[in-house]
Amino acid sequence: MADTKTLNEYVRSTKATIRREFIPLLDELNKGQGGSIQEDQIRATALPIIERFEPHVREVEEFVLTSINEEWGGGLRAALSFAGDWITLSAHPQSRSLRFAQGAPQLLAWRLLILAGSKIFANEITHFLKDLVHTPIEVEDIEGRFSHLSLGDRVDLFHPEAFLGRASTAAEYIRDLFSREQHLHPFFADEVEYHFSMAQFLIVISLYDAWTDRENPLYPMYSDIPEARRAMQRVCSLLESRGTLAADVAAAVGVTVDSLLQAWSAHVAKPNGVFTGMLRLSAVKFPDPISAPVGF
Amino acid sequence: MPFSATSSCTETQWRYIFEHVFKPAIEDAGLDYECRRSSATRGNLIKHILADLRNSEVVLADLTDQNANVFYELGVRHTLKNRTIIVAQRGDDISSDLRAYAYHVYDWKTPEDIHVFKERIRGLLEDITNDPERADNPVSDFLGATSKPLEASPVSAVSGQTIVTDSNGSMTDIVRRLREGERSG
Repeated sequence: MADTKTLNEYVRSTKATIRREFIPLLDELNKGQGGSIQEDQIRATALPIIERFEPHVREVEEFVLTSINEEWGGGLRAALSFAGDWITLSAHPQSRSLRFAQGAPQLLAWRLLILAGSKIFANEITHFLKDLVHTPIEVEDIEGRFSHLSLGDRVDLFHPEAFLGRASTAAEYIRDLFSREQHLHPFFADEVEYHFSMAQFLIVISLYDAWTDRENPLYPMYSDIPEARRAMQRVCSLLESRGTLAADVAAAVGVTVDSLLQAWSAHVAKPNGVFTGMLRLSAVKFPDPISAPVGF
Repeated sequence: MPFSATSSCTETQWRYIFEHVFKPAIEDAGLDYECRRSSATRGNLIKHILADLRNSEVVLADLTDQNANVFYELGVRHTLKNRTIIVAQRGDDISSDLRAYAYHVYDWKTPEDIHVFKERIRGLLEDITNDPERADNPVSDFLGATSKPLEASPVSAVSGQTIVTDSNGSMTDIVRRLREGERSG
């Protein structure tokens, strides 16, 4: 890899390598036994399959997180390109597909982008946020059509097929990643920082969703991450301060700080209204008005 | 030893590096590792080396001067287990197939160099102790599974010449090179 002369060459060759590794894995794991499954067994069933794919993306994750450490946008562009490739792999099911296996590359694409967003907050280089949330991700579907939706508009990524579409299970997966994946440790001071940064990024994603005209709101995944309450307080304080970071967050949502604050109540009602389950009555909500204490 | 002379180090220098750099770096790390170099005698040389490569908990491989035997032994180790630390005195000695993986460029000529190296080794051994089955080489990645030790052993062997790498450090180098490439391109 050190011989690589350009970012494009690195991305192209690494994509090819990972495809060579993923495709036989998909062939093998798609032969697994299907059938019905209890909801509380989804994670335990999916995880051993996902773990077979994980070693192949660690180097890419290190590359992207190191690039963000170096405040180099090239790593982010690479992340979006890798994500598109892996989503494409999941979008081409075999004649026999097991959703846990077929959806694994898509899950890892989402994981890469969420890690990138978390690192952006950990390093406070929020001018990268807009690119991460808004840049179209090129994906080819099974009929050969290309789509160019951004992370903010790819609701499907937050409902990964590898977890049978369950966003709350995906939240548990990304929440626990730091304790499972040693290679992430150099990039976050500790697990608290990992969770704090991640919750902030997921709050930005929820705000982006709240400003769209999609009828069904995105599951408020940030609420399942420890440190969500602190993260909510910080994001709201940042926005109220109207400083540079506020402008970056608003740009990631797709509006200006002024318009975001003016229309706050009308929009945050959307994520605040999501029913997160009988056991989730303590889910963190967006304060309304924004200056109010963060409630549940 | 026998660490024979290579293009940049004499046999005496290799012996010094082993005794005064590698061995104390590993044994003083506070993790209960014992460091010994591959023991080989005339006639059964490769057999003994292979046994060491199989039985050692951790292998430290030094690719300085690109010694062919060391590359062969490193390849064998990669087929057997994870937990191999790669080092070299110059980054150019790392072959392109391995540059995507962790390696450490080290120096040994001053007490400060040796101190830096020891600290690096300590951190790497801690990482290995915390996550002994983490895939760290192309073979593990290809097989898609972590290594399964054939035989547990608390011994750390040093094969041929030196090695050590910090994955974060080497990735930083790669990112910087790509960024420079983008700027100049």
